[in-house]
Amino acid sequence: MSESSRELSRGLSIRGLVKIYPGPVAALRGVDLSISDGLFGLLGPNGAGKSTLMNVVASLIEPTAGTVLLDGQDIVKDPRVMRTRLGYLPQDFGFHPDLTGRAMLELLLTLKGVNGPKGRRSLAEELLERVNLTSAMKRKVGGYSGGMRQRLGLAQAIAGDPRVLIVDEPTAGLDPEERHRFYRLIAEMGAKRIVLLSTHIVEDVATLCPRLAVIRGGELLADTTPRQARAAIDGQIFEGYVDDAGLAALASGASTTTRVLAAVLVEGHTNRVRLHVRDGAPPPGFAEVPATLEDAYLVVMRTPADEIPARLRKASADVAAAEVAA
Amino acid sequence: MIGTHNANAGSGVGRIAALVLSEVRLAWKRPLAIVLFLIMSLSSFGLVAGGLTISTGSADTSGMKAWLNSEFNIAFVDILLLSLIMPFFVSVACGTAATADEERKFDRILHATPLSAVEYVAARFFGGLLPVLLALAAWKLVQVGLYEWYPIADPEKSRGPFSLMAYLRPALYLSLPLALFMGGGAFFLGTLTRQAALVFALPTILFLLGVFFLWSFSPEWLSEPVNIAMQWVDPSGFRWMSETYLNEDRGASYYNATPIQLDVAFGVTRMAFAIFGFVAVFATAAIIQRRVRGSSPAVRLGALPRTATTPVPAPIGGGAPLPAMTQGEPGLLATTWVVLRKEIRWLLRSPGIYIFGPLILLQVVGSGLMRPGPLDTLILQTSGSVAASSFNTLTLLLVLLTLYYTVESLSREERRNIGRIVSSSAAPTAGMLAGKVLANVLMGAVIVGAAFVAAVIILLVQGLVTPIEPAVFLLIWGVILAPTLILWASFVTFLQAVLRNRYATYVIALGVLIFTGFMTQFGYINWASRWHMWSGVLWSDLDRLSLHWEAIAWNRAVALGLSVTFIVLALRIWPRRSWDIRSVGDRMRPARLLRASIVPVIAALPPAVIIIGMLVAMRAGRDGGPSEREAKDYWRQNSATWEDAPVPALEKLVIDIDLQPTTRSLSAKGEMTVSNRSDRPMEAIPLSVREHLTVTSWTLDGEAITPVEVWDRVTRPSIEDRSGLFLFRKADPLPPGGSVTIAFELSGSLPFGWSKAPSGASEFVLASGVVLTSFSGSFLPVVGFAEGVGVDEKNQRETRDLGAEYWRERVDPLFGPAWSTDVTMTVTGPADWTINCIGVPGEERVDGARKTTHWTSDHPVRFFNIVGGPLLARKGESTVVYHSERHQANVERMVKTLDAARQHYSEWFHPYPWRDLKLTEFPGLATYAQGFPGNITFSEGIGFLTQDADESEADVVTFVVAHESAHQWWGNILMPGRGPGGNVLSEGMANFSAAMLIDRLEGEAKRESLLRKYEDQYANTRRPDNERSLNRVDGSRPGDTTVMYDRGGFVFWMMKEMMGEERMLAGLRDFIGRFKDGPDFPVVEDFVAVLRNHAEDTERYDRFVAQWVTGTVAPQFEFENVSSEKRDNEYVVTGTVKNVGTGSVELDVAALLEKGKPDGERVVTTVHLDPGGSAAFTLVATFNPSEVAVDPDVKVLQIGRKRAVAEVK
Repeated sequence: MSESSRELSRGLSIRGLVKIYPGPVAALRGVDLSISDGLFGLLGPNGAGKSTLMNVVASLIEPTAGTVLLDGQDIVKDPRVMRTRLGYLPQDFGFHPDLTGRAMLELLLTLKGVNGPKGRRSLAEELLERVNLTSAMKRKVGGYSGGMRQRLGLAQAIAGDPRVLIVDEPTAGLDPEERHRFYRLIAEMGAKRIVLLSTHIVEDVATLCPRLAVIRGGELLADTTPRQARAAIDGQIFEGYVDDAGLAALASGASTTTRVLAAVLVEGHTNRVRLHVRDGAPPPGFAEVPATLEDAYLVVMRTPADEIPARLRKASADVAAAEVAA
Repeated sequence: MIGTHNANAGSGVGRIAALVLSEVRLAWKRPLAIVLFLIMSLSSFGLVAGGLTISTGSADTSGMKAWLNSEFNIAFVDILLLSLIMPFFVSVACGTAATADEERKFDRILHATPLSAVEYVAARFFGGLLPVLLALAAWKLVQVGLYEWYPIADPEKSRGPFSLMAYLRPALYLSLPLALFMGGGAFFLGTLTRQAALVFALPTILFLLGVFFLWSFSPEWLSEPVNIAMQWVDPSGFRWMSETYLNEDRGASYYNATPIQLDVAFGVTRMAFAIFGFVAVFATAAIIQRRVRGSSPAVRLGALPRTATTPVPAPIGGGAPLPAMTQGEPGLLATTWVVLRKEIRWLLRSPGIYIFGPLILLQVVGSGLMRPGPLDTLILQTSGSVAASSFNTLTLLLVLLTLYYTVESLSREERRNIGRIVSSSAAPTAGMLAGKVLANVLMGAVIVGAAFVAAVIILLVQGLVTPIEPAVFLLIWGVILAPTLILWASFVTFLQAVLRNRYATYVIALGVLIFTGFMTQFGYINWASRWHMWSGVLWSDLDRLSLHWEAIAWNRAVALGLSVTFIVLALRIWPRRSWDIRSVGDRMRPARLLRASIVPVIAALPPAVIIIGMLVAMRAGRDGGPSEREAKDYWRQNSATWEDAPVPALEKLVIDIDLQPTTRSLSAKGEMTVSNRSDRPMEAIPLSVREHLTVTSWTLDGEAITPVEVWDRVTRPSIEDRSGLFLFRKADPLPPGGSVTIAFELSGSLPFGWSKAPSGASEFVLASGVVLTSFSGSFLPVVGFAEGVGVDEKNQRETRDLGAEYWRERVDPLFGPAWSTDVTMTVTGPADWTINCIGVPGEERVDGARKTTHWTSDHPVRFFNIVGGPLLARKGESTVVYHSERHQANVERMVKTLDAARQHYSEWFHPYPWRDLKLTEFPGLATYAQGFPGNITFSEGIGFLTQDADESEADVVTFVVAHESAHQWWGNILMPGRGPGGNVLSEGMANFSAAMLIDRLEGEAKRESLLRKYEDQYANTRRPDNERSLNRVDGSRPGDTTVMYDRGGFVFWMMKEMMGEERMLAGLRDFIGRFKDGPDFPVVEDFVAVLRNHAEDTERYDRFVAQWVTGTVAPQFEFENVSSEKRDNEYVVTGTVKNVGTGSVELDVAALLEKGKPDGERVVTTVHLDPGGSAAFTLVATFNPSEVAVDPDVKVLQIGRKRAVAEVK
């Protein structure tokens, strides 16, 4: 492959990815994605197929059909291509509880083939320092809190300065402070590599990712940027307060042009309701509010696939590139 | 409302039932219960099809047989199958029930419900146990079907009326307590330690303790209280069953009709085992309770640092850049090393190692220290015998240990939920698996190393017979055992790769082990399929595995080859990335499958080729089809015509034998003169040539003749080859008194080719030694038809009934020819060997590395033999013992006994006719001794490697030498007749002679000990249903042997006591004198008739003979109402003794000062007892007696001597 073609094919290219589990259950229904360096958010409800997609990319699950290319190399055919360039933090994972944090990390560094100029032990200590675990590195992992385990997981994931970093639901179980620390680290990591962040917490993506995809029922519904997603529904989001009967009436009267996006209980008896009104006037008592990424996500979730506005479904390539570059 | 919630709603029983039922429903989706059901059902089928019943009943067609469906037989089979198989399954089912919840994190949800800890453990325990019990209930139905309706031979005699209780009762009092005990114990251990491997500790301990100790260890000297205690601690009930009912055969009619009666103590122990199970379950509840609630250490809050509440500053700014690092593909060795180190660390922290490790050492030490030989005397161990005797145990334990820990290692990442991180790493699968497998193999090596240390200690404690040889341990426990472990670890890895479920792997692997066990037990495993090498190491300290070294080496090569194949397969399918179901289909496409198979097929090719080669070698060997066919052809063509045909006498033999031990071959050139001593002309002279010999030339009276397979019935002189029986026809039939000289040249190898499975060799030409006899025709043609060749179960015939008066006519000799022969043998062998033959040695010539010795019989002989090897000589006064340099421990005693035997037997029975009396050791490839005229042969296991007996016990070295040297008189000088009771005059008299000699040399106590051993052996191996009297026994039925040897020896001793020694010996001298030269050879009736002439009281003599010689009486005694009263300074002991057996006897009853010490201070009285009769006794002692016992001086042969005691109250 020439330098120019290699440059062209840099990044992760997913084409026609299908995964059917015995049952049969279709977890992925022909997903196409091109992901270049930077943070890429993968949003979707539980059971949407996010983890399956992540696991296929991480070479842990063989797809039923489709290709996944990393910098032009097919990782479905040769998983080793991915394994030597991957940092992976699964959604649910554990460690050997009787090893210290440092020993555990050293073991994983060896298995990943990662080394540092001063040896693995020194590298492990540096990585643990990077995730703020220096004080606990000699403690057994079995005694770690959820957040500490998550940080240790991140330390092993970033070890080796991987080309691809996959983090699946990374902030689940973290306290707010840990979460922000985590965001910062992930954001730093995203500067030079592909970081695939899977989550159902829209705020995570909004905070971190210049690009995102929304997946539901194994289908890719949107491949966009946060700004374009918000722009696609700008002026269409309204908020008002109604009681339960009013909420029921709104829900039953929903149409292709008006949908209840969210209803949040306020003080136990009133509902703060956000509506997506595509055309026409909002119901009485509802006022226009600025659209958020969560609104965009909920619009996608509440709308049949074939009715999702094109602007929301796919970002303009030029604008997206500019945004990512910015 | 979705539902209601009430903390008090629902009963505990309801909650337990709900959980148990959910487990039962799930159980049918797991392999455990189904595999158990299948294994048990197939085993039952095998047992029914094989007709296995308890060893009792009559072998002949007219006697009563043990019923297949008697309660005894069902209980026996249940114990056997259930105690070997069920505990593993129960332990897996119960032991992992609670830990599986923890692994699934389901326990947290359950503990958040109103379910109490007790309810939880009850539900989980019964949820694990019930599916197993249901599987066993289903198997019981299959068992009933098979035992009641499966077509078997002779169903009217082999099957009794159906009784449901016969099936249910053993299950209730044997199986259920065992299941509760094992299940409860495993549940507790599994929950406490969370170690699946420990779950197997209990069944493994039970298995090993049972098979290698509790079920079988019952030497005569074991005291009754210890014996009873051992019955109580055996959870399977096997020992109780065998010691109470089976060891002393009570006859088929008893077993068929009587339900098993539990004694109170045993019943209590069964309940105790069941209760233990429940207690263990409730103890588990305490563990769960503590885990759920947590525990608080007793410290003051104020003493704890306040770090948790210290404010943390907010993070400001970005983090430091990532440290410099590189990532590449980790190497195979680096991965292996790091995984190996970590796995070793986990293994060392696993409590199971500290249970299994000592258990293994205990077994090695136990089997090394407590290995009984003849007469229950312990074997004198050498490095090789310790290593070989522990080989099976060590293999089994290490195989089980490897299974548990390999599976745990392989599933460790998945269990700890780190599998996805590790699998997505670049570490090579081969390195990860190699690290895990190597760690387990290393663990095995460490345990073997510890076993070596234990073995060295055993050898040092015992006293070194030979130097400690680490190389021998390395060979047996390393080179031979290691491939088994490597193969097994590879196979388990392969299973885990395929099944991806550790419980399924456990179940299938255990199934494979059980299947292998059955196949081995029933003889379906040959050298090629003997992957475990179980019983494959037949150690002889002299031969050192040379007999089967080729088979062993190729077998190990197969094991290693298959290991590579399994590793290759495991690497191919190891679940690093989960396969897509469609790609599985794609992978199954022929072209892809073919491509994928190339590497595994290449890996499998070497073992496959070796296996084929081994199968070919086994077929061409001595057990192979062609060899068996040849032997069958010999029998088929000749048995009807020649088996009972008149045999010519071998008048003279001159033979020149050349032994080539390095090639296991021999060649011989000889000339035999045979004559017709019958009163009719002999049409043809029959000579049999064994299949391992090839005769290259024959001459008949000097004329070379080529044998023909089909004789034209005209050509004479001629030789007809009838499948190994050569018929020599002179120009005219051989007239009475006429003789003919036949010369031959032959060659052959012995043993001939490969055996199918590990087996010893009684005659051989090996680098370690040579044993050849004229008896079997192993180095020359045998005159006449060779009995036993080509005979197996299918064509074995009932012995012919000769009628009661046959002995009054002329009777042929029991063994060999009727006439003795002059023999001249010239034997050439290695120059550094001693080669002994019958007769006296003549000129000896050494030619380079070869030595030739001439031997000439100084008195005619019926048999002759050759035995030799690199031996030393120890000379006595009139005898010599030839022995290996390595085995000197007992030689002095052997020489002394041999000298004494020659002297005393010559005085007592008949002067010894030959000049020399030699005893020569040979490699113990078979354990036996044979007394050829002047040339006795002993395998190394007989006498040479035996520990000193306890001070009060009969010494086995003295006994075996006394017994075998007695055969110079009873078997050689006097050849018994060929008819019922004939062999009693050989073996029974040899045992009697040994008792006489031991009495003379070592005193009364040792002689009494010897008689007790005879009696014990007789009581434990007789078959009362078809027991025949000494004059009718012929060796054709089970139980005959002990009658001939043990009852015979004891009864002849009783006869001597009854007649008086002088009269008895005079009678024996008279008897030998009358019959020693034939042509009529004596049987028991002749013996009785001659001895009667020397009896003082012929009426008493006749009564004795009617009971003990021509009858089968076996008295058995019991005490009743024994009590003691102190009068003045005396103790008056009264009671009743009863004969619950048969026979009228004069019986001594003794009150003993010390329990179990009949030779100590005592008072004795004598009572007369008829069958079923009882007699009151009164004993007055000046001491306070502790016990009454019968027959303190061992005068009366009886059953149950140890139990015929009573405590004096």
